Amino acid sequence: MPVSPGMRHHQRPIHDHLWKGKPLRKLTIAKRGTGGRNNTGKITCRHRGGGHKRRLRIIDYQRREPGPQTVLRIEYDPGRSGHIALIQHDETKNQSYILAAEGLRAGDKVESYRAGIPKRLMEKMGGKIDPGIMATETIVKGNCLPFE
Amino acid sequence: MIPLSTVVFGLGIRRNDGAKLCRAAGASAQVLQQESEFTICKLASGEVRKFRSDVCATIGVMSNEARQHMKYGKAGRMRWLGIRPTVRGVAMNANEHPHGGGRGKSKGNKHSRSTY
Repeated sequence: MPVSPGMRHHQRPIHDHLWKGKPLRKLTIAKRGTGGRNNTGKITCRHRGGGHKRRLRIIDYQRREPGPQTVLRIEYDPGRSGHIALIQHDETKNQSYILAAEGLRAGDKVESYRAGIPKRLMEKMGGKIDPGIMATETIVKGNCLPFE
Repeated sequence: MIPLSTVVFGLGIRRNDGAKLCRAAGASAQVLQQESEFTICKLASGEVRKFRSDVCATIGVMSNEARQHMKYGKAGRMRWLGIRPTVRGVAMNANEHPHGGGRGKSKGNKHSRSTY
């Protein structure tokens, strides 16, 4: 039974895996709302204004850093409809936020192959590119790689 | 290298781009065809588009797929998100909107139109 009229028609997905605490503060910046006004102060977009105060999360869209990274946690992001993942590089210990793939959970490993095929993988394939081994190694949820 | 029919999200548009397309909750694109220099993908909108093959994408579907089933339940929950109420033209006076004025909820035999 609903406990209040506002809850009667309220539905929301359950995300038990989301981090309950605050974001990593050094990866956020303050955001100020515009209230739908442009630089001349006139309303250019109606029905905007108010709302809860937010901080922008700095997301690493580029994924330039090679090497395996571990997902520390999945977080809510007020600035987007999807979730974000806090990842830590296994060697450099650099932390960053990335867009979270569906089903990505804390403890998973993700890697970016933007910089090319790493030596470790090349040795595993025996020095030349084997599409089968390559696909099983690289086609993992949350990995970033070029089309070709 | 991304094999055919793989589901991806966060695609770039140009070389060295970060994630630009398919970033909304539950969005994804599918790799359809690979030529030497170009890769053809079907985007979340249904658009089939050519990409340069050195463009990067992330494997999987963007998280929070269940968001489309979310219902806010009350106006106040939308206000927390910074969205203000929308007043209907029919509810206004004649000097405020073409739909305004008149008895009851009449639009005054006018076609639906905006304030502007």
